[in-house]
Amino acid sequence: MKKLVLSIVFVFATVGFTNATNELEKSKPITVSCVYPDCWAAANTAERLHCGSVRCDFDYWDAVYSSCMGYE
Amino acid sequence: MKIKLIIIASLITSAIFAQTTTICNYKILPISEKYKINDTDDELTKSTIKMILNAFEIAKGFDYILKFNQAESSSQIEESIVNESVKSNYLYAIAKALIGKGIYYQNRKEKLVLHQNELMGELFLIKDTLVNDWQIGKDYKKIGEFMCLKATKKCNSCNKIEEVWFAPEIPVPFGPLGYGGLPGLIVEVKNYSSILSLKEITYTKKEVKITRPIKGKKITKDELDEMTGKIRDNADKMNH
Repeated sequence: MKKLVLSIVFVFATVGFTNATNELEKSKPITVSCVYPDCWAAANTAERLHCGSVRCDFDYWDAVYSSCMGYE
Repeated sequence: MKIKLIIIASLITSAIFAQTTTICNYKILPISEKYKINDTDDELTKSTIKMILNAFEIAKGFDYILKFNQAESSSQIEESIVNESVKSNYLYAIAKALIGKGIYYQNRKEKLVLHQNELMGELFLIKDTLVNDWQIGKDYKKIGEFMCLKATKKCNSCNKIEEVWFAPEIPVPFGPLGYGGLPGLIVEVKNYSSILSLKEITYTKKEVKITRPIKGKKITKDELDEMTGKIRDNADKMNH
């Protein structure tokens, strides 16, 4: 009987923990690193789209790269 | 004839600006055709375009403020009125960079432009010169209530032709984002992928403080270009 009660408590605790973890995952902000595993490539692509080539706007490249790295 | 009228109007209005502080509010408009997703684009390009468009949505809500008197000016994004939830968005820094980050200061007598800006986590104070090295063409158009003339110049460090529209009716050599040196206020700046345009102008007799930025590692524009070039070289090496 004692074993049965302990088993039920264990199952409820596990389910509760899993649900809490899932909720935490859901509430995480969407970050650049989720979309772009490669911040360097993302920043280069963003810069090319923004001003036509790489190395045309360091400020912009740095903003994308830093945002990406900061949220990894 | 039109240009003569503009010059006469500028002489009449110059007296108005002699003792006032002027506050200009600029807004950003994206050049939308630059951001069209094609079926042939790879996934990185598609998601980057979506990211930039989302950043533009944030940037469109910004007020870019230029304040000036007869001697000096400062301009920056008015961050104090930006909602905290927007500031915590990871696209906030990118949205600011779409317009222009940092504080720009211009001084007419010293022919000086200062740009206080954070790059790679470090604060810099970038020094440049306020000179009229523009080519003023014959193109003119009305922007808001002002008749404006087009001016262009070649930017050597960024390899592009810079285009601005200025109003001789407001005879000050200032403009947003450190642009200036022209015989009139710059009311529109064509950027790479956007247009920054004057939406509202107010005049006040009250003294409005124009703060000269002093903090940051002092560096010239040429030194900055050299430094950022090296940073890019290192980043490229690390990722190849």
